[in-house]
Amino acid sequence: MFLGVCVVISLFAVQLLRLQALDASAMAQEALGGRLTTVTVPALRGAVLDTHGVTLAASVERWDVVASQRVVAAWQQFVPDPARPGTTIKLTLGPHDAALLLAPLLGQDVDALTTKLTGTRGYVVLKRSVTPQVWRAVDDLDIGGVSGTRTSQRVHPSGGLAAPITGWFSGDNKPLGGMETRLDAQLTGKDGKSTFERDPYGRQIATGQIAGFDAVPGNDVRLTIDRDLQWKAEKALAVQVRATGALSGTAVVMRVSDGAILALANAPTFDPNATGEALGANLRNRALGDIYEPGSTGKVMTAAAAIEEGVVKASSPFTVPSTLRRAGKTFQDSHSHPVEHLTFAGVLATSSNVGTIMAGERVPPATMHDYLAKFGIGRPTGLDFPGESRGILAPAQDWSGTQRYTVLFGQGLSVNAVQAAGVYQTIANGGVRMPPRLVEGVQRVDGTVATSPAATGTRVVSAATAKTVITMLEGVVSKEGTAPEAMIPGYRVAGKTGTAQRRDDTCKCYRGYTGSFIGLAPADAPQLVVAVTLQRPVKGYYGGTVAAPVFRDIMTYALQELQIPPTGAASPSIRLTTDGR
Amino acid sequence: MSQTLAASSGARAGRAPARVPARGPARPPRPTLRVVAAPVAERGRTVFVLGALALLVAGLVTLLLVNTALAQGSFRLHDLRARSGELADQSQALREDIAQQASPQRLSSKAAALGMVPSGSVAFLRLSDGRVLGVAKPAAAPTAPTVTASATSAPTTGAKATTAPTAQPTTTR
Repeated sequence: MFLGVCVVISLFAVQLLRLQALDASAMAQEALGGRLTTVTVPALRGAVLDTHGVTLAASVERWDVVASQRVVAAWQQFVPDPARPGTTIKLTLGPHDAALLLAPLLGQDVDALTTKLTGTRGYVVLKRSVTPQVWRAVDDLDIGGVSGTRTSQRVHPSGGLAAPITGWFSGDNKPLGGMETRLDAQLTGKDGKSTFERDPYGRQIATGQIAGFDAVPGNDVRLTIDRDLQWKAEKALAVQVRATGALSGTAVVMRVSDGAILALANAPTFDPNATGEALGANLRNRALGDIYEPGSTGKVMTAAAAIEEGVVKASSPFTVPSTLRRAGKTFQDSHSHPVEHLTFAGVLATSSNVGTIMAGERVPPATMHDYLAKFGIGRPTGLDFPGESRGILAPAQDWSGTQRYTVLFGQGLSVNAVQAAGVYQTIANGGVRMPPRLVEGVQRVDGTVATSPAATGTRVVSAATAKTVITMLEGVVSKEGTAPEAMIPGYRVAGKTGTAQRRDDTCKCYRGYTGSFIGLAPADAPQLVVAVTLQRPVKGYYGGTVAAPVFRDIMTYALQELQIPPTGAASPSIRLTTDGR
Repeated sequence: MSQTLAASSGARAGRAPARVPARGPARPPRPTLRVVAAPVAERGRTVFVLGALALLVAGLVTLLLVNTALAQGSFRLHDLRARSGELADQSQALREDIAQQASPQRLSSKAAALGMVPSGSVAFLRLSDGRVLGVAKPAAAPTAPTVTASATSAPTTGAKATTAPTAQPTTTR
């Protein structure tokens, strides 16, 4: 008897020793493992803001509601028994009951939901990206087999506004274009981790171990874009692209003093909230990615170079026939006309190709090439925008016989819309080219913006030359010029139309036109440049008729919104014709 | 017997002092004896044990209370977190709503619904010389759409070029 008790007690003691001393740490570890849980705290992606801090794109918390059909089929719930208070009865519910409860919350049809919930699949997505509030309501229903996965969604509060600038995402939330790609390193946050002990209800145990680190949200980035101006530009452009039956269009609004792009409109564009439905061809920023031959808007570079080189003056007389034979080819003006006696200003105002060749051929090809390059043609814009194309400018020695003349009126070279606007920014800024800017800086937590150091400009032509060219461009925006439609009551406006023959990649030939207008205002103290380009418009195609009205709309709005008053000075009367001495 | 003992010893005790000097001065006087109190150490130990016990109990109770408070705090934290999350969600939803209402598209369509039209021109009053810059005139309702194409103004000569592709551009405008 005594011996038996001794043996049993000894066994107990041994087991106790084993548990408490030998295996203690392993056991404790196992128990801890049961309580310990690690939660990844997802970091929110930084927002893309406009120049005033208005949100263009931001990330918000969303939930995917998913279900296991097998579990839902066996869903049971204990409900208070109405017959016997204080007791509960077990109700066996199923997919249909679940559907009845979920339908109003998810905004789906009961029958459709029942179908989704019926079956044997372990994972069915009921609805993606519901708001946290909807998810809470769903969670409170406590339906067995229905669960949620936390995700985030990129929202664009202003709809599709500026979408080609901010960018878009793939189905699995990888940035695929625009600033989302360009500034991904800044915008991406660092996920946090939290490890803690919890009770069976998921509550944190106060005295338990806590470890981990906080999520670091991504930085907000401010662009130079002005949302309201962007909207105006997009709207005016979209209306005109539709009205003229154009393939596409772009509009660029640039601040003269620092090259900041205040609006960069594309048409047609896409809805960033539904990129899956967007046409692949529209998932791009045409203003930077598409290149075209600028045509007559390029004549301003010829004029600036010729004046800077001293081979011509605004008042220099030209006897301009309708056609001109050079390099074995006949160049012609857009309209057949009798021999005209024009000043160089008149050549530009009427956009005479013949007159431009006569003036431009006085500058050697290599010198002309250097001017074009200094104006930013064929060079990267410096924006480093995803999908950007730098355009084409062949070296002078590679120019074909006719190309030496076509470049003078903006054919035989290609630019993107921002480069084209940059040429006019240079002229408007007294001959100093500022590289275009699209990013204002990274916004700190306190709302201040860490701006990148101001870029230094490059002088392309002298201030005097720039002033002369602007005066000549004022002649374009006149009753005698090609763009009376660009006139803005009260303001002095200078600009240039372009109606270029369009290189069509489908037939590798020239077919259709590129209608454009690039202008600046106020002409005597330029603050803004607006460049409007329409690709292959079919109902009207002259830059002065299709693009100039859009320019006027956007520039009028921009001058009002930015509160730029007219200078009050009268336009200088500039002679466009000579008496034919 | 004990009585006689006590009596004899009492008698001895009574007589002794008188007899001692007579017996010889060589022996030192005996110290007087008195009744002393029970040792203090004895009582101190009891107090100490009781004190320690009390302290232990108090400590345990405190620990219990602190633990309870912590646990309660943890529950409260859990509830408050849930509430905070709920409020944050609500705030986020409201912000999204505001942002949508404040978008230019929405504002322009609301303004149009109220019969407002975009202003075609704007005038500035220059304080230095009191001059009015720009054109001050009432805005006219635009004919929809705001921007119209002059489709008819395209000359027929140009249209010819549209249909006939050319190898090299020789003209532009």
